Amino acid sequence: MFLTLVRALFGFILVFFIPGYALSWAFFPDKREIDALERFAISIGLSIASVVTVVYLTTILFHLPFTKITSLIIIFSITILFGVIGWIRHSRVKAQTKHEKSGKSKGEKR
Amino acid sequence: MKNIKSMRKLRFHYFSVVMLALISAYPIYIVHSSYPLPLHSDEWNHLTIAREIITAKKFIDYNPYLGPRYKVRNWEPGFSIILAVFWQISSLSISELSYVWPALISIILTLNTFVLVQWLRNDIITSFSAGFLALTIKSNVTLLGLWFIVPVAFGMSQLPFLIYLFLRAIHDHLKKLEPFFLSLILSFIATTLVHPPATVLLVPVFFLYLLTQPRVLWMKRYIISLFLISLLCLSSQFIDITKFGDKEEIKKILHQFTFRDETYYTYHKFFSYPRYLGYDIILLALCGVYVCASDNSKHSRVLIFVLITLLPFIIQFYHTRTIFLFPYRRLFSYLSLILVILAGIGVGEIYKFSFNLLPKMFKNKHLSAISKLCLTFIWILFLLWQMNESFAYKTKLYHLITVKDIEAILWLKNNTPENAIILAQPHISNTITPLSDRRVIATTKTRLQSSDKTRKDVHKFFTGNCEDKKNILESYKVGYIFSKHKISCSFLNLTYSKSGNYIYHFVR
Repeated sequence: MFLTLVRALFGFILVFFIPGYALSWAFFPDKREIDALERFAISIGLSIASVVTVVYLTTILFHLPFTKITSLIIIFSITILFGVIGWIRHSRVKAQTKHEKSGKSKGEKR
Repeated sequence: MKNIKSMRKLRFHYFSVVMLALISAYPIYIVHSSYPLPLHSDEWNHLTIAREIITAKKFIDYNPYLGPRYKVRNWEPGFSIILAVFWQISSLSISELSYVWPALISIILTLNTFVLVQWLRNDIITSFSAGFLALTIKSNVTLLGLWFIVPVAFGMSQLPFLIYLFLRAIHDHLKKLEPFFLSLILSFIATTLVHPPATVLLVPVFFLYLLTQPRVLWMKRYIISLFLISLLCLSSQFIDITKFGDKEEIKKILHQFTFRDETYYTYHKFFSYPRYLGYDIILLALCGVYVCASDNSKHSRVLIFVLITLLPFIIQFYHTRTIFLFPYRRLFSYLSLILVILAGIGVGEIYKFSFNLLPKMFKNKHLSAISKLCLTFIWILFLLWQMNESFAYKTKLYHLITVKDIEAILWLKNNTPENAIILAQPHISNTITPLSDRRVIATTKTRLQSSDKTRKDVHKFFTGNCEDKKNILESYKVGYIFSKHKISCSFLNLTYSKSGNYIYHFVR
């Protein structure tokens, strides 16, 4: 039972969460755009969307073999690619917010 | 002070979702507590396709029960893919998957419903009620539902999410990149690949909603055009491009856009919403309609648009007995979900209204507190009662095999050649391929069905004399026979006998 739970959780996180979580940061880099719960739901939705479409395209159009390794490569590729994009966009938003805040506080001091 | 309040609200928010996630596993546990295997032949069919994709290491376009020579179109490729990927990565057994998968889909459904209603109403009680009631939609062998590993359950779980993304995309005026629209397009494409009716029925709803928002329609014309282009590209999935211009293919396409007979049996076609969902849910859904109609922000009206757009299709089906664009049973299921969400909104609003009314009715503080407690108790009781009602069809589920049969089927896997063809009763054959990786002769008249002739031949084998048996075995090149009773013919060699299961080897 415990092993089943661990396997199910592992599968859920890899297939239904991680790729979408990376995508969610690429799409919504600002924390204020969506709350944590919305991000969680969007992560699941986008995970399903990305895994289905990318695996479908790679197996049908590019005839890549459907194995555990290719599935994992696809999942990690989506995660890394959009994770990096998300991280860059998030850093920019963070810097901009910091800049705006400091500008405001300077204005207030004056 | 405000911060502490919002923190408390946020905690309650998460607590509600965690509660819902835990509750969503309960109905699946109840259904599978007495039977740890898939319950519906469609489930076995989908598991067989996913299994074959994993074994063949490619997407398949044939009936995996019969072999690569028997071509069959998969209208739900996305579902086969996501199921195969999850199965491959989690390495769960079929019996584990039969309850883990429905539990995961239930969690996703309740979460998506919660998020949609939270955004529409901004009230946790209402969102919790809607999320909870979404879990109580009855499942049965005709309409299917959350208990089963089937695309319609997956589509149901995505429906609130797609509506949420659509509303956010339409009312989000700030972003140049339109992240909600991009998410919507991506999710729309994937859901169409998983279960086409889930998205096809949303197209007229979105269209109608946009017609009422001409300003938004003009502002978002470019991204809406992109959405329409992606829809057109997606339609190529359902049209054979290689035969484009072919008269027969054009006829087929036109057939999709005409009123036509449903391809399934007619004896269980009619369902009525009050009887299926309950009169209380319908009344509460009407309350929900009233609440949504009087919503100042106008976002909640999208749920009414779903009713306005899709109810005529249901009424049309009752009158003409023909379907248009989407199968009646799927339409019925998806509309049930919307009604239940509306009922959740109705319950939540009635609770809130009564909760605020009680202090005015009872001036005494203690009395007021007790009445509030009673109200909460009634609310919980109502939700629990609905959960109990959702098991109405539990006793009407059929089992293709018993747990004892698994040992015999696994014996086939371990003791017969990989290319051996097994002859068994069609309903047992449905389970032999996914459990033992062996091809069979005939399967039941479900999603992946064999021809009527093969079913008749299998019937003839089990009822006919030894000569008939031999002819059938030779014509189908059968290697082994899985039988529920003893057979005594000279050319059949008994190789396995346990718990009322007999496996014979055909000696040529």
